[in-house]
Amino acid sequence: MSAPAVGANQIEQHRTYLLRYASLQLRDAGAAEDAVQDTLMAAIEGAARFSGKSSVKTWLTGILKHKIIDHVRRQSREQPLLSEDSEGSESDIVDALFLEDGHWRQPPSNWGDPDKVLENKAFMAIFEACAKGMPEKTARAFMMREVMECDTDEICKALNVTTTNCWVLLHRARLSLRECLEMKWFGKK
Amino acid sequence: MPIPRIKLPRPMRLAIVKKLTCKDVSVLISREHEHPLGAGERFWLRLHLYICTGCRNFKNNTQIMRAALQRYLEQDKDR
Repeated sequence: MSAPAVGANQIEQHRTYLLRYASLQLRDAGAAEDAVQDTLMAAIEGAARFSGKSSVKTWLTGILKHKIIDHVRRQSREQPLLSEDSEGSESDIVDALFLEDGHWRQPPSNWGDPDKVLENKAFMAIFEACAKGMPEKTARAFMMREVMECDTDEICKALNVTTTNCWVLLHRARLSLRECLEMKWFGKK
Repeated sequence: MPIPRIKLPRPMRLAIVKKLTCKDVSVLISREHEHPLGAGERFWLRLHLYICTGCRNFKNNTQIMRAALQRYLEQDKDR
């Protein structure tokens, strides 16, 4: 038998990244831990199959992505009603941000130089809090899109919603995350 | 009797036919992150962004949020 193309400790060193990735998506720390654990196990078992065509990190992230989608799909099947009702309807959240004529109640402000903003550790801490404070289903759609780079079809299938509903979730996600950042960070200055 | 038609410059005609609100525009800006917009939508979006600072900021903000997520994932262990 040939030696594995990638060693166990090479796999292990990506744990923090994977855990962060999974917990953005899964909320529940236990579930995130499980997904990462499964990923590392699968990776170690399948190490011989690692082709070396991508980086170890990309390869691991790919495995984790599948684990997360499985989890989300299972969960959406089990509790299909974790939805609009429990999170307030789209119109509640969106309408709160716009006037009746469709203008911004409080127009978004200019956040300045992105590089400067993103280098600020305090900003990143607030960003984390805002991201984790999003309503669950909204957050899930958003993270699948922005972190896992799933296309809308994959998201709809995993969450068991229609395409239009998917866009609605993502729109709501961006508006509410933005609002949180505007209030907690940019509003102060 | 046919309604008399006044000939307006084309952009003005279009602006009368269809006016997007900031709310509509925020939907388009968001959807553009998922899926390419149609030619008409792109046109109206550009036109609106040209005159509306709030929506321009919204668009930039959504890009910063995307970058922030990537940055968050890549942060070192020391946090």
